[in-house]
Order: sequence, then C-alpha cells, then structure tokens
Amino acid sequence: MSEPFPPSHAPIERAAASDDSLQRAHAQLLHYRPQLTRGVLLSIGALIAVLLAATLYFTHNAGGFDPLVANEDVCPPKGGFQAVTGPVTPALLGKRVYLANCIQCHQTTGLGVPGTFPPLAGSDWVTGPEERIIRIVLQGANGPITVAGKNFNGVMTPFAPVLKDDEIANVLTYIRSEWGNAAPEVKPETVTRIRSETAGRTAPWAPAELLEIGK
Amino acid sequence: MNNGLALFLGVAGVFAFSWGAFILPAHWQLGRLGQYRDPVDETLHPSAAPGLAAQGGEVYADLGCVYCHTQQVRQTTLTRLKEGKRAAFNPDFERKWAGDANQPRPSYARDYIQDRRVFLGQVRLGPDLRNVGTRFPDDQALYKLLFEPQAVTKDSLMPPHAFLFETRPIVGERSAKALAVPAPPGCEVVPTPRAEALAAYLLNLKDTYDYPEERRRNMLPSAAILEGDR
Repeated sequence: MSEPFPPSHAPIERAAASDDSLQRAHAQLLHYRPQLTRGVLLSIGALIAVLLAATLYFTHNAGGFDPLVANEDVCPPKGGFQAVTGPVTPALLGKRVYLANCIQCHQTTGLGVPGTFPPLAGSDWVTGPEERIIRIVLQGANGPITVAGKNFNGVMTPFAPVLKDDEIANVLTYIRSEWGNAAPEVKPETVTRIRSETAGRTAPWAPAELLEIGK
Repeated sequence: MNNGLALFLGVAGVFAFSWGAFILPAHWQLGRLGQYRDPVDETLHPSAAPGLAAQGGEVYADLGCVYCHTQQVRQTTLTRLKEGKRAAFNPDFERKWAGDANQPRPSYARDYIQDRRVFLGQVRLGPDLRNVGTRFPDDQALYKLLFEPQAVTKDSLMPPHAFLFETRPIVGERSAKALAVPAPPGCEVVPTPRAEALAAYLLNLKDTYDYPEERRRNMLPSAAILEGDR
C-alpha cells in the first residue's frame, strides 16, 4: 500500500483519513448538486411577472403624468388632457403671415402706433371694400390718410414682391376678422385679379385715389 | 460549471429588474414623442442640429460645460411680496432664459428628442444655456466670452478657455475670424476648429418654436398660483 499523503503531514492526515465517518461525509458532499427544483424556477418566473405587472401599473397610474406638461403647478384634469387640433382656417394661416410681416408697424394688438402707424382694429379701410385694402397691401400707400378718425401721414411698404396671392388673402381675412373686426373673408382669386389689373403699377397708392375705387 | 442555469437566470433577473424599473416606464411615458409638424407651414420641430453644431456638442461634453451649466428652463412659479401684496413670478423667465422674449416658455420634453446627448445638468454655477443662441448675436461675441469671461462679466466664475484659441503671426491679411482682443504685435488670436464647433453648437441652442398643444397644457394663470397659497 502506497502512502497517500506527503510524509511531513503523515501523522495528522493518516489519523483523519482513517476516520470512516468523515470519509463518508466527504464523499456525500463531493457528489452533492443543489437541484433547481420546479419550485425555484416558478418563484423566479413569478418575481419577473410581478415586476412587469408593477411597472405597467406604475406607468399607467403615474399621478396623471403627461409628457407634454413641464409645469409642475399644472394639475391635469380627471381623465387627462384631451388633444385639441383645430381646423386650419385661412385666418389662422393669415395670422402667421401677419406676425411675420406686419407687427413691426401695426403691432400684435392691431392698434398700430398712435401718430405714426394707423390702427387696423376698427379701421374702415380694413373692413371696407376689399378692392382698396388689397391694393394697399400690393403696392403700398403714401400720403395723408384718415383712419378711425385720426390723421396719419406715412408710408406703407408694398408687399407685391414679397407675399403670394393666397398669403395676402389669408392675412387680409385675418385682420378683417380679428380685434372686433367683422368683414367677409378675402378670396385668393380676388387678389390674383387685382394683381393682374395693377400689374404695371409700382408707385404706392394715394389714399384720395383709393377712395375713388370700389365706391 | 455547476448551476449555470441558475447563474444565468440570476444575472438576467438583475438586469431585467433595473431595465424594468428605469428604462421601460420612461420609454412608455416619453418614447412616443415625435417631431411636431406645424399645421401652417408644414415644418418639423424640433430639427436636428446641423453638422458643425453636432460636433460642437462633443466639445461641450469634452470640456465639461455640463458641470456648471444646465440646459433646462423651468416653469416654476414662485410668489414674493411686491408693494405689500403677494405676486407670482417665474425666476427663469425673469432672467431672460426662456427663449423668445415675447413668448417665454419652459423646456418641454419634446425639445430634447433630437439631441444626441441630453445635457440637462444639475448645477447652475453659470446661466442656463438652453436658449443661449437667442442671447448672443454671433459667434464673435461668444468667442470673446470664451477667451476671457472676466472681460465680459467682471465677476464671472467661468474659467477662461484661451486654450481654444490660437495666437499666430499675421501672414498677409488679418483673418476675418480674428478676435478683437489684445494680441502681441504682429499677431492675431483666432479660434481653433474646436472653438468654432462649440460656438456653432451654442448658437444653435434655442427653443423658440412654440408648440401649441404644450402651451395650452402648461399655461396656468398666475392667479391660480396665488389662490393655491404656494
């Protein structure tokens, strides 16, 4: 029989190795494999399912969270905000043209600048015959003019080279229906017609001259 | 290896847990936000940053601007006493950080969907930069600030970024990009490509488009704040 252990450890190890019960215990441990029982797998699966359900629940009940709301003081109404997408009207399209081209002088309020730029709100020139106001936008105006009972003497820029016919129609529809004005809308065809009628003209209109039109 | 299946399931479970807790809900809540199409002129908002500005974003990250500058305009309404009465005010709006002066607005989640990296930031040692593009007229004004912040704002805490610029002898004509700062005789200070990219990035930072649906949902009359006794 060969020596199983190095000689230096022989006295201790031999004594231990001779213990039958210890050897049996070691043998058992060496062959032990913890088994992934059905119960363990089921509980892991259940944990994942619970996690997913909790996430779903949290997401759909997150205190009325709305990705479009950035204001912490806003409390969304019960049932959440309803999306509102209104129809795109000529006046709405005209508002954009107005904000881009007209507010420098006539202001967002449509009141103009007293003494310098005439108001559009409550102006007979705006709500009156469309023949006149279209000409003013196309070729501009120059000279003394009375608007809403006040006298002005300034220059209106011609927009014929800048704006298209439908843009002019839209912006006129906007100013004729905003700030308490209530005049019928202007059709793009009308602008096209007047643009061709006044094709050769580059000089701005004199107000007195305009008053003869559309009488 | 013993119990490979258990190890695999355990690791998968740990990752699934954090993914389920942090990524999935955020994606469900915000992931469906897309570009908004303007009904009038049919443009898409927000638009992606152009090439040089996108490169500048990398410089912004590299220089660590995010450690002192935020990029989020808050709509936090506070109240203060004004002539004996409580009045509502918005600190970020008052500092002119909220984009268009006529239509100030907070930062919306949609503003960030095109950003390759979102530099929200946590600390405001410097001003908020989300709308810095509206506050600087051109890149020269930015270069001046980057080169020596204390020359623009006396007590600025910002470290000078002179390393983004190059002092070189003038050969032939003076460069059109040269800074209006003191330079040694016969020399000029010009921005390096990194400075140009950073300036392009900063000038591109402006959330001036007003999303109608967001505006409708975020507007709150200041009277409501006062009634709520905040």
